[in-house]
Amino acid sequence: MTAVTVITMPLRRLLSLLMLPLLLLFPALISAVTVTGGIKPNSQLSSLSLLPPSTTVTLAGDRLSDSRSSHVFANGAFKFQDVKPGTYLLEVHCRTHVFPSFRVDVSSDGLIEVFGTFRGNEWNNKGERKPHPIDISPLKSSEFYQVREGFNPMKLLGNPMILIAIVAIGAMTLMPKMVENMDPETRAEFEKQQQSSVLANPQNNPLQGFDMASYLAGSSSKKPSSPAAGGSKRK
Amino acid sequence: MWMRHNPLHYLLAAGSLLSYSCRAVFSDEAFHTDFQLQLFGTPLDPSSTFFHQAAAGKAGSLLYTLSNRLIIGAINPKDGSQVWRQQLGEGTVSETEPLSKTAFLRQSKDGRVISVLSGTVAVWDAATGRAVWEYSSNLEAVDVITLHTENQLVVAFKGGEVKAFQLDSGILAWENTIGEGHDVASNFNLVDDRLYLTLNTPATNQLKTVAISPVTGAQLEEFNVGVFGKSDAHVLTPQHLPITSYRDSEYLKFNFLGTKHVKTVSIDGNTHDYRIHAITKDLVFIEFWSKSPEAPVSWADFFSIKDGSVTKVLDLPYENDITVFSLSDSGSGLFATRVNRAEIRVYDTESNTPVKVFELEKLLPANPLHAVAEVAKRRDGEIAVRVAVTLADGNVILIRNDAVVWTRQEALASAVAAEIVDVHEAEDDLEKALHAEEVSNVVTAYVKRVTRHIQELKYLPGWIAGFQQSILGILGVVDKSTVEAAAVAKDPFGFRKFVVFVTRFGWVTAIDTANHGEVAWTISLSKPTLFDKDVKGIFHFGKGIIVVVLSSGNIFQIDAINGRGMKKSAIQILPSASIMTVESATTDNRWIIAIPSKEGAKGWFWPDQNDRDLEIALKQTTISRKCEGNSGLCGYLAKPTAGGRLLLTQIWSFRLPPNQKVVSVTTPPAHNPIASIGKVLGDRSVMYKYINPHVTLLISAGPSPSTITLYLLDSVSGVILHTSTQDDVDTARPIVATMAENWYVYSYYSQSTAKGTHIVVTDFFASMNKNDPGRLAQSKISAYDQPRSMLPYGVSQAFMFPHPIAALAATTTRQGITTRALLLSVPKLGSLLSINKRVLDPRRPVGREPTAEEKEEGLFKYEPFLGVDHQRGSLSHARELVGIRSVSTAPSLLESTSIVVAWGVDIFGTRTSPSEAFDVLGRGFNKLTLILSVVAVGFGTMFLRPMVRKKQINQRWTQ
Repeated sequence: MTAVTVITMPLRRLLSLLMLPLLLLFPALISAVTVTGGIKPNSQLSSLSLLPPSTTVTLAGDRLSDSRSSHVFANGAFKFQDVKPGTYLLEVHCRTHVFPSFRVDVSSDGLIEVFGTFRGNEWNNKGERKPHPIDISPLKSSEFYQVREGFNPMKLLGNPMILIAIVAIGAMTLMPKMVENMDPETRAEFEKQQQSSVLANPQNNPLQGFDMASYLAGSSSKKPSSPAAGGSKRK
Repeated sequence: MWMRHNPLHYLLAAGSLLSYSCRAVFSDEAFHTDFQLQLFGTPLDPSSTFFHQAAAGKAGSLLYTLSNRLIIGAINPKDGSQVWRQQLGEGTVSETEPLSKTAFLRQSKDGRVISVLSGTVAVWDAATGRAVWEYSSNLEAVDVITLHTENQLVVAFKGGEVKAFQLDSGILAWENTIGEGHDVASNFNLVDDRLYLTLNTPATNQLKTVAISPVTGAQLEEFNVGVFGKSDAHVLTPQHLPITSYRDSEYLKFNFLGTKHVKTVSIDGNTHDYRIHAITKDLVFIEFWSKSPEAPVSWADFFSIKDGSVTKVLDLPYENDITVFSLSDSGSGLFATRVNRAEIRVYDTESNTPVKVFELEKLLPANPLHAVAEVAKRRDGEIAVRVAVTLADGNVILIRNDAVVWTRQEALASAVAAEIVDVHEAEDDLEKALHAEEVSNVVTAYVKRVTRHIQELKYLPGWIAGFQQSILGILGVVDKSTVEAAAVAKDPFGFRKFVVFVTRFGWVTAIDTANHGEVAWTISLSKPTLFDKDVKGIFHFGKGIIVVVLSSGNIFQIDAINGRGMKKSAIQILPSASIMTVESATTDNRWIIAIPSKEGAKGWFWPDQNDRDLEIALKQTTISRKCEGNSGLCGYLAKPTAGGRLLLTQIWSFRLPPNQKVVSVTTPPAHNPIASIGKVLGDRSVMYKYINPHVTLLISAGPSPSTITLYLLDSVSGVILHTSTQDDVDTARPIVATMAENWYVYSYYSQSTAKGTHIVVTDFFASMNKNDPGRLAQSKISAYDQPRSMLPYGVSQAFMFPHPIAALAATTTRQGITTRALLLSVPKLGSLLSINKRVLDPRRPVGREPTAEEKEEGLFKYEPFLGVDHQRGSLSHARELVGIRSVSTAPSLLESTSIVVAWGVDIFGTRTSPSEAFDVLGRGFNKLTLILSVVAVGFGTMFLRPMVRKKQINQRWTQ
């Protein structure tokens, strides 16, 4: 039983190049290979030391006895020895980060092919071809906790209803000042216009029947005979 | 016009929207509402437990151990907290096989430790627990040695293969096969830069040692030590000794390596066992103990090894007691530490009287199994000792001088069975008093009530004090933890449960879920070891009584609240019998019944009283169990007769086809309330659920190695209600199932084109037609009257899941109104995940968007792949759970909340509300803000009232 042992990358390439004619001569000798790879930090994983030490990488074959498991070493590398020909699912099992999974095909002449794979699709649906040794970077980091929606003034201000209310209140306070600053002619015209408008005349407005202020003051309920509350009602 | 809206409508609508997302954990609840006992398991062997420096040059050492659950790791000896943990292999532990032969842990240089599990050798960083490198093969490693000068790790395999690896990189430096594969290797020794390997040749019974060059691995010399008798066995010898040792029934023999010279020490190997310790090259310390537990004996001897001779220099006294020894040298001389239940004695190498005796403040809870010690001698000659002792109850304690510093409940990692007990069930005095008042006449009831109220006045001062505390707690004056502690003591929501475990060491231990998993009580069953097969079951027998039934027929009754043993009795049962409990419908009586696996044999019941009630109770049920030969399920009718015997009549049997075998049998949980008998669809029609409390799911494997078949049986009549088959299943990997309400869920590894773990959910309805209640409409439902047309209608959907699942369970609540959630233990992630049953709804539309009606029903488009979303579905959040084998759930007094306890190695407990916490205020509810805003509005009104009045009056006057 010969195994293609991987030492370092360039050396391995050289070795496999040298051994290739040999392997072709004795295909029967090549019954198992070594699949290697490494986890590479990216923006989601700034340092390998953030990965939990229990992170494992598995190469799942059709049979449990063909499946291999490896820890992620301190330099991010992982290694599966003695992999028999077949088609495998390579997965990184990590709680804190989500990694893509790969399809690894080991042919009987020791050739290793790596493809991206899409979970939830047919196994024959191969993705992009990847180089071996396999470099894997996390897709995203896991978020464990739900955020409790507390009281947030900025979020409250973002609400369109609140914005409309603020604009309305602003207009109400600014309007008299604007009217004051108008030149006398326009002002007279404006006041005349206001006189005829429904809004300016509370007596004609049915909505005005409900006096919010007196309701808040509690005078209408407590003292129905008071002149203020009674008066407003009579109108 | 205003439309009248029922507020309940909004609540329900909101509930159905929210329940899409499974409620996960809030960051302010994490680590408060849940608890985890991070366990290692009981240290396996004294040679695999040691104090070791985590990093070169770092002061202080950590305690490293390899446990019986195949977990290695480091413990901080100061407080007993976990530094790191790693599980070796898949963590599957054979029960009876001695693990210490195939698994061991050794220290190495530069802050590294080396673990070996059969063919896998791994080097770990001792400070962080990160793997440095791993080597696995299908050979079996027997010994490892670190060569300091070459910076290599040499591994000897059973067949004589020797491989040397670079310690830093794991690159193979050299390899050699000693003895051409005819020999069995056992032990390395390093003497004067020569590596010796001890081997024996089974064919000729010869023991030999081989000298190997540490640089090249070449075989230098071979020495035939002698003929190995039949009863001879090699004895593990410390690696730096210049000897190798083996034994027969009468002698312990030492061979000086590099020679044929053998010295013998006479020891009676039939009655005594021994262990060799050594720290220096010239001194051997042998610890002896008696093999029989009835007559404990222990002593130890020092032998000096010099110039080819072995001489006894000192013997430590012989005692008729269990004591364990540890030899240590922490820079201030060689000391032997002797530990028994009462005291710690420290001996030096000069005399057989201890240099220091520490009498323990309290007797240890159990006898010691083995110990590792560190002895420090201060400048003034004062001796201080630190001993980590593994006890016979499976726990680990650390003793400093005369005091126990910490105890780790490692026995709980070896739990065999568990049961959740409701603490409040025992305290139903008030309920009884109220009931008594109801039934008695008006005058006595009135007198009773008044006296009860007067008696309750004594709680008033405490209540006022508590009230004050809670007010202060709201204001943030008092520490929140004291308020929480008070809430735990009151437990108004029923979060407090005791989880009672039977451990492999023959102890029963209860932990309190409301008190972060603290041990509430523990009691010994006086059995040294219990395996899974020895424990028939642990049952909650009502009224706070726990009953443990062993295969031997012993029945232990234990008070679940205080852990007092109440009664021990025995019935004569066969080890293969099935045990179950029967409850009387009319009275409080309960019985344990045992059904032997042999056909035609009589069963037993216990306690042997109230047989009339039992007869009535048994008349209404059929007892089902696995048939003889594990070939299916059989149903029996039982009738109690005199002498605690049960007359059994087989009334049905379900036999599997000859080439199928039972994988698992699942029944619905005992507490399985169904709040709604139907499912309301978007068009206001109803799909009625198939409700049958007597269903059993049987999963069988075969006939082809990749096929499983699921049979849903009626356990009263034995009728097959539903069958389904899955092909392309890897039956070597775990197949797990759970059932609740009108559905079951199972998971397996599929080898089909959709490779990976699959989760399949099947819902059962009374009929495939809407508005058809099926059998529910009949006035009388009988299990014996089930025409084909009345069989349940099953709807299934399968999902893919990225990781293997080790255990499945469903949440359970008091009345079953809350949506269920499926709980999954995912060992590869070390997480306990929760998936809402609404996600696993088999009626989700496939390949199209849901229609408006389906949307109203709460269905959304089917996606085959279920990803892991920790934020929405992880109950264990950032915690890492190791070795979870089983998940148990129990209802709390709040309808929204289910108590979850997961156990195996670690024990994890939490509470979850799958449909949001609709009946309780969460931590996010700020009482202070509420009070302040009410006060602010009040002030505002008071302030505005005169202003408004004035304005109104002015308005009047201006008009």
